[in-house]
Amino acid sequence: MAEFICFPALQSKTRAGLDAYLEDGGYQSLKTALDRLQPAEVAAEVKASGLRGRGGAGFPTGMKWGFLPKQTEKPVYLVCNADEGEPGTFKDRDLLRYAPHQLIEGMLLTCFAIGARIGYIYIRGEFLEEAAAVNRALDEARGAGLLGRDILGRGLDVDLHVHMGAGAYICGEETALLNSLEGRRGLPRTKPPFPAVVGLYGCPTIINNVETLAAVPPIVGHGADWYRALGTEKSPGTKLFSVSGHVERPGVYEVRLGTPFLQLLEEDCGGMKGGRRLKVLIPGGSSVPMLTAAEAATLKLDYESCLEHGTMLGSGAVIVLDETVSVPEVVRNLAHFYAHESCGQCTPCREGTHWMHTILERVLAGRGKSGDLDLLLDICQHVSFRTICALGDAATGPVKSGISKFRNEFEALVHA
Amino acid sequence: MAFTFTTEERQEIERILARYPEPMSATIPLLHLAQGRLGWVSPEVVDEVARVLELPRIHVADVVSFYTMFQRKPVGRHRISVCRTLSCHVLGGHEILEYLRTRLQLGEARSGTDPRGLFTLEEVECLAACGTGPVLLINGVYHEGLTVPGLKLLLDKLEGLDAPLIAPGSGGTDAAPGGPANG
Ligand SMILES: Cc1cc2nc3c(=O)[nH]c(=O)nc-3n(C[C@H](O)[C@H](O)[C@H](O)COP(=O)(O)O)c2cc1C
Ligand code: FES
Repeated sequence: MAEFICFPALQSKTRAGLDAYLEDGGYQSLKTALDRLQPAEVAAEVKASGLRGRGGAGFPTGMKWGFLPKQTEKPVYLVCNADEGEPGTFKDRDLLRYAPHQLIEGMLLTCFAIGARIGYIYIRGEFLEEAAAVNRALDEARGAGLLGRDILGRGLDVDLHVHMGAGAYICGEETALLNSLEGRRGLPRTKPPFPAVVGLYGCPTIINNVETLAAVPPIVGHGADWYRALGTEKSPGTKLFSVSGHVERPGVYEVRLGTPFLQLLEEDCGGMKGGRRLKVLIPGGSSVPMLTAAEAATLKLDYESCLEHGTMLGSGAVIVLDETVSVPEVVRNLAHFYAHESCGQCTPCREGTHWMHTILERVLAGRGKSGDLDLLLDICQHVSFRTICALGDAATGPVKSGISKFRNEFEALVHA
Repeated sequence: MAFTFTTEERQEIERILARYPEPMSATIPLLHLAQGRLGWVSPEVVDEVARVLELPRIHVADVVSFYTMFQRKPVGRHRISVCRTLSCHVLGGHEILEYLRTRLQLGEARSGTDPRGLFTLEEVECLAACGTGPVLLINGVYHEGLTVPGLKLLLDKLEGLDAPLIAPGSGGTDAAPGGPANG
């Protein structure tokens, strides 16, 4: 069962202000850290907790913080990635709406740990209400001496600002986000140098997802061991899952990593919609390979089980599709998404995503040619890992897995 | 039509600029500010943002063309953005789109403005509200878990509310610069 251990506000879903957050022990982790811990000790606790980035790539958070230069003349920046664009993902939206103070506390702890004095929260442009909730919380925090100069009288100076995007999935990619925040087109940058060394305005920058940063207060408050014990050896802690599609009760659930997928489906989501049968599971957002019902039956919700099943945990966006869907139609829908969202900078991705979509359109219109399926797989080969960022590779996930696991459905269209 | 930021907007711009070490970062915020008043980003908005931030006009134009939320043509009074991505699609999003295309008399076009300039329809990608699909925005406000009958009521109401507003001088449809655009 979902438990809402680290993110209690997502259970009650009330828009609690500062008072309610304080009453529930909010900002205690920050106080404890400022009173008793050195910045390096906060970073060490997060590293020991095994927390992994919740934005999609699952990179160990403590290790990322460790990539900052030890000595630097330049300011260090913290950027919160609240672009939430991966299809199927809607957990950060709930955190922004219902737990803005927890995010702020997490950002303050992180700024303390990494020595940043300015943090930006890059929120996707459509999230007007969510941004308003965060801005309200920032005002409350400023008014209570929790933000600005000499926070809580403990000598910490941090200011946080909301920055709105303007509609572009690619801006969720961390280096595209930095370009966008600098006021440019959101084109990804080549790495290295990594943002931790050369990031925002050319300065060392840490970029973390909303959920990653919001997990920091419970980790610092309860300790790394407590957090680790919630999950599995390789996937410590809990994670938010955004469940959408053909289930009775879609929504955002906090789950201990390692929980069987079927348990989430049956106990939390009330099973398949209308009692129909599961056909396709996309466990980690539109970019990850899809699973058949048989594969889904043995899947556990953690990084290692997803890998064993040939897919990824990604952002925790669980898209559940029943027997009424046509897989080619699903693949076409997602191919349109990637063709539309490719930034156009790298030729393999710009051309490849458009060709994949065009060919799928013709296959679905009954004008497919006999070599089309192999042509699609061939294009995937020419896109994957030949581009600056991971969007191109992401675009191949649904195409490759769809054709390899449901080939007869595609064949039927081509030879109709 | 000339566009200049008002005194209040200039004060807001000062607050925006104070957040960043480099003024270029204010490009998107200023474009949002202008579009919030005008409804779209006209070439004159580009001029004004470039002037205020002391940036080349081409830089601002380049940014505008990259981001889908910036409208480069005038839109109808109400902008309807419907999510077309997977989770919404399988929960009936395509029926919502079909209904809107018929109601707005768009013919073969997938998006565009109805003949009266009241509604502009656009298809958008995942709005990060997939658990409550189908989802659409009307003038930036989320409407979730929509059905065709529910949407019909909503639009009827908007049309009804609009009726008296179309009187001259009250900022009716004719106030939309350039009139309705199809595209
Ligand atoms: C095309 C693309 C889109 C992405 N979109 C998002 C997003 O919307 N939100 C997010 O947090 N990370 C997104 N990411 C991942 C970020 O690049 C980055 O890994 C993440 O923000 C790091 O934070 P984390 O380590 O806390 O997960 C995206 C990556 C790619 C390649
Ligand atoms: S798929 Fe429509 S909001 Fe995500």
